[in-house]
Amino acid sequence: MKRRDLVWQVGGAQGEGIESAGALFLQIMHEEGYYVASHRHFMSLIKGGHTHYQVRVGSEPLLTPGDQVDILVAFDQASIDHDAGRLHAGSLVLANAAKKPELPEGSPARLVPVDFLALAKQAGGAIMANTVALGATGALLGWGEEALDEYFASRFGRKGEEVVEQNRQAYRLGWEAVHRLGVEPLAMPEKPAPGRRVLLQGDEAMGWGALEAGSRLFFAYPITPASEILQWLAKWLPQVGGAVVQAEDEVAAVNYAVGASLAGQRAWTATSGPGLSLMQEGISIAAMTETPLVIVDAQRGGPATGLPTRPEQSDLNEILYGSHGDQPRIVLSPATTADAFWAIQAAFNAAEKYQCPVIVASDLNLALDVRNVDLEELRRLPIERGLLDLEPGAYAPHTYPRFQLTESGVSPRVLPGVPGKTTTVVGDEHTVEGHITEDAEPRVAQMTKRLRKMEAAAADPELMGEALWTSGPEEAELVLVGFAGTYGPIEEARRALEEEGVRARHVHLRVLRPFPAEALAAELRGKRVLVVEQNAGGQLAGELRRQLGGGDFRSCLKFDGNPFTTAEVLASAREVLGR
Amino acid sequence: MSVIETRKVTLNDYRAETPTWCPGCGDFGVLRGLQRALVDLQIEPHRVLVVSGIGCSGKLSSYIGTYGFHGLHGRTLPVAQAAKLANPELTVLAVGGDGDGYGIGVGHLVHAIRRNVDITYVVMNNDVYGLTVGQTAPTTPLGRVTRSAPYGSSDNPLSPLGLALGLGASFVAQGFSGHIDHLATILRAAIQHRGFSLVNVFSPCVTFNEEYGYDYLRQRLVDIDADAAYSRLDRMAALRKLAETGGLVEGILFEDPERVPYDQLLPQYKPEVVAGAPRPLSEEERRAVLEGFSLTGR
Repeated sequence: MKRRDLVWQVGGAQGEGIESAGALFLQIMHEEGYYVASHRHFMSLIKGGHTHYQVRVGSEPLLTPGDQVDILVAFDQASIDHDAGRLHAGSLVLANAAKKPELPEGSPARLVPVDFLALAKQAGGAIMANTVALGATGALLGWGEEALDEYFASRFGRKGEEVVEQNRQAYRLGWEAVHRLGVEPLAMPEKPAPGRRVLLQGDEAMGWGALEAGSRLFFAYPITPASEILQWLAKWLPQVGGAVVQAEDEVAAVNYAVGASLAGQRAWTATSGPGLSLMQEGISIAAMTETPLVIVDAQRGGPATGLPTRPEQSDLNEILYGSHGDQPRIVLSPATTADAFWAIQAAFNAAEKYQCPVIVASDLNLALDVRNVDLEELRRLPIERGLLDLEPGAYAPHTYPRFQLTESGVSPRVLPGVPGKTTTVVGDEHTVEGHITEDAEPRVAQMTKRLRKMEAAAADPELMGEALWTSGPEEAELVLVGFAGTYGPIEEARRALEEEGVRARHVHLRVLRPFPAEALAAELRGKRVLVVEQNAGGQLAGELRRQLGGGDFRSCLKFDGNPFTTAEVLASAREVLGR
Repeated sequence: MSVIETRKVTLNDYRAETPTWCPGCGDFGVLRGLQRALVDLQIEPHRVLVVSGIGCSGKLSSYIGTYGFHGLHGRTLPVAQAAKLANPELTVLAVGGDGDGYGIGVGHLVHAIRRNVDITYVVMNNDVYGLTVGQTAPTTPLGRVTRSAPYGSSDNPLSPLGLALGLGASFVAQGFSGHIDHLATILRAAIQHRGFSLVNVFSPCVTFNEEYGYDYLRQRLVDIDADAAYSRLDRMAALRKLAETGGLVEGILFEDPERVPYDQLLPQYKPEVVAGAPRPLSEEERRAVLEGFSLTGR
């Protein structure tokens, strides 16, 4: 049987090497030339609890890590129970024989018991249990007994020949254990045409995109799922002459970014909801002082609000409306891993062009899920700095019109160090020259000037031309709407509907401020609309109603701590369609 | 940039808006002291960035003819440190009050001392919250009656210098608005110090804290700079002196000229790269980044 894809998943207790087993399988499949997509399920603890790593391998670019599981490698019973519902008639469950695993009654899957630990010890150490599991996997996929020999040499060569040999042995023992059971191997998907593909997380794509955008300073406080940006940049920024500062807290991180930006850097920070809450005052000062600022918010369930390590898109209201006062604020939201590379560059350009904060709304799945991306999908943008005025002047101190009233709302920006244009930017309301004032006239003039930037941005084809990603026929029965990391399940659901003969369209929002009201209204007019989002309150649907002056939208919501599956979106769409 | 004719920097170059502080406010003395120190050092105003927070002290950045940023309450230090990292050619000063620096912003102070970025932090300390009209400050003495402590303050006051010395600060000094000449000397040394400098300045609030005013300080402050026997290189001596005088000292308490400033500890940090115009990765850099990922079809 030819297959287009295959889903492999390994599960166990946190600290058992589940993540490294998953990452290993993922990397091998990627380097073998397949398209891969993965998802890591983890809890807010270091050891114990349930964790799993899901890897989908395909012949074509993959939109999601997959709904069903073809091979489940279960180190404990909990891993079987947790995902029993995702097994089908052809599924194989490679389970730890020592723990007397059982499939739930009526499960269509087949159990393949292997004693991972005993075989690992036989090969030289318990630590190689995941290599045994890999060998057992190899036998289930029809790989040879020595399929990964070279791989172990390159991966463990540093640790010496003994480690390499032990891993080879562990692989073989796992392979033989399954082989002896005489299980018919599953077919591998057909290999895609060879191509230049890079194995990438959304967080890494943003880090890399920022380097391409010329940013050389990054400030952040560790927080899941944004920490991978910090860690990736901590390695790479020094190699290009820049620096990472791990701030004492999020309040510091955002103010660091403001300070560096004030001095001319394309500085930024990245956080998640709780951190964003702490940063809101700093976002206000950036908006008021017209200092460019880029913040990535990788959404998830928060520690004060639910499931800290689980996917959620519940910061949207905070991203759009957080902080005090009225202020211009641009919000971008990438849809895919490759798109994250675009979003961060676009964010730096918009921040400098409009001299205001730009928030990039990401989420846990987008931030952490690893997949491979064709290199040509990574789009580089030219660096645009906006109105910078770096010519020396002859102004008396603090008479330079830093906040000149312009039609676009954007005034020429000077940087410290330029002679004859010294200016102080103040957070209080100020005159054109930056002097504190409490008079009504300059207050109104400056506030309307600042807010005019949003009108200018709304009319900016470079920005708004990117606002929506659409697919499917324009004359559709149903429009599915989403933002950020739900792109994959929504798009897969739409394609499934298309195969069933349903005319469905997918509209994914990539710019949320300025809100693309006109373009979106045109897309939704007269259609049945299903808004798919990962929160309990229907924040995106609420935003659509607010921006479009109402609307009869249905919501497909999920907030149980697990990512959307395609089947769930599909079921919700069918319900709306009355099928 | 075109070449600018160099000429002597004068006090006039450092004048900006007219202050709105109460007549007699200690902050006037701090402003004068700073202006004088910068003129003495012949630093051109456009090469200086003054970052301030909220409150009366926060207004200083508007009154000195340099580049300035008047930001948030307590957040001067992150802004100032980052500006210095982004453009190391700037002379960066952070200025604030005791509430700003020792209350809401004390966490940043602790970490700024740890990092030792080459900036100067001037705290205008008047032991009271002035602009919010007279509440307890972190430095208010125990038992002092204020608007927020009608039965007397129940919190022990914080010793900013003790804190800084204990944390390993590389430059710790204290000045007084009533002694502008001396203050200017202290500030000059602080700016010249390569690393983080804390200068706590007694800057009396003539409206809400009369008890702790000019006369009180003039009578009690011990000038350690005039004491030939005192060594500013000895951290323990500084702590002893602080204990002996109950914190009422004036001068440079401690300096560690050996401590390495932050930028020199950052691996491979290149000031000219960071301060330069942003540019994409070079082909070579991009290749290196790509090689760092798992890549097919090499």
